[in-house]
Amino acid sequence: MKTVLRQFLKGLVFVFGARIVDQRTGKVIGKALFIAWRGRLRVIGLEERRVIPKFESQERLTYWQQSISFSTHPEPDFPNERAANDHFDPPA
Amino acid sequence: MSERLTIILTHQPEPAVETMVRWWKENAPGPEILVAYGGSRERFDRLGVPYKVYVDDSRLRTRDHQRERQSFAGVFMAVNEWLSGHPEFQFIHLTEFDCIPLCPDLFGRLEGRLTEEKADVLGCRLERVDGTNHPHYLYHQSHPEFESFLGKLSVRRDPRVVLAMLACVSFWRREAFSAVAGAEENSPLYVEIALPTLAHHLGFRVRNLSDQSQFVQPVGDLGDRLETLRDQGAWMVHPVKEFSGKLTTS
Repeated sequence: MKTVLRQFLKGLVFVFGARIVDQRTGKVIGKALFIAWRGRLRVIGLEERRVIPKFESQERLTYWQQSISFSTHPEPDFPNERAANDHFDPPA
Repeated sequence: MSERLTIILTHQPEPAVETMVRWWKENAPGPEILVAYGGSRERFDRLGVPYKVYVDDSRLRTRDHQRERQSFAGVFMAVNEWLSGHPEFQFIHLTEFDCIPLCPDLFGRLEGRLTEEKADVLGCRLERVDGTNHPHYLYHQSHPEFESFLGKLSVRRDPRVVLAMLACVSFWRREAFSAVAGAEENSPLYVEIALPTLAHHLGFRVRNLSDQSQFVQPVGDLGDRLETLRDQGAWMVHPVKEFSGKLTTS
């Protein structure tokens, strides 16, 4: 039953899903359905995409609506930091 | 003496493992082969290969790997103990038995890439997942000790970074391998999160094998497409469930 429901929802995503644009790259990264359920938003259709949700900053102040957008992390490219043998101490 | 070591992680019956080790020696020559065995103790004792270690860790033998947070900690510890008697090995290629090389100089290519990238660890499908909808990240996030564990472990400025990669194949400088082997997991980590995240927070540089990731998949069976994938540039392929020793890498 769960599998059937899942397939049905995937079909709905394919037909009715909203396009998701990566705010970092500007590329469309997939489609998703947003369903309000028990005080939360359920996101269906992004299982293959890693996205970071964020309320967008506003150039024009509005009280009645805000936007949530999505972005992705760039590919990990961190330097070797073995020279830092001690834990990082944040400035006091 | 070679400084190259390939670890094949397997739980298959002894004849299959012995055939596979012979095949690797013929078709991907150069490195020594160490079998990390996750099957039964009796089978391990009967296994006729030059180098082998037994992995006695229930967290390797999971059924629902993701939900039970399958771990390679036992593999790393057993191999690290074995390595203490073998100081010659400097580069370590860790592979599951169903990840098959498609070129005879796989080790050399991985070592070359490691040098080119100035990296300490290479993996496939490496991605940063903190703050995202990645299911494994969200699952770990629910553990009360997860964030504080990374905070205590990390030498990085940002201890919140969480990386994920496939665990079926990875390539390591020895120092990175041993450091990860020695890291105590106070919070149980799924192997795909554990390997890159621990290495990263211990200060090592982890890089993606981006051009090879398409040939290394988490599920399925690519066994019937080996020649095609090699023509497309694959150095190795995962998963290959029904491996026939008839394949050659040249």
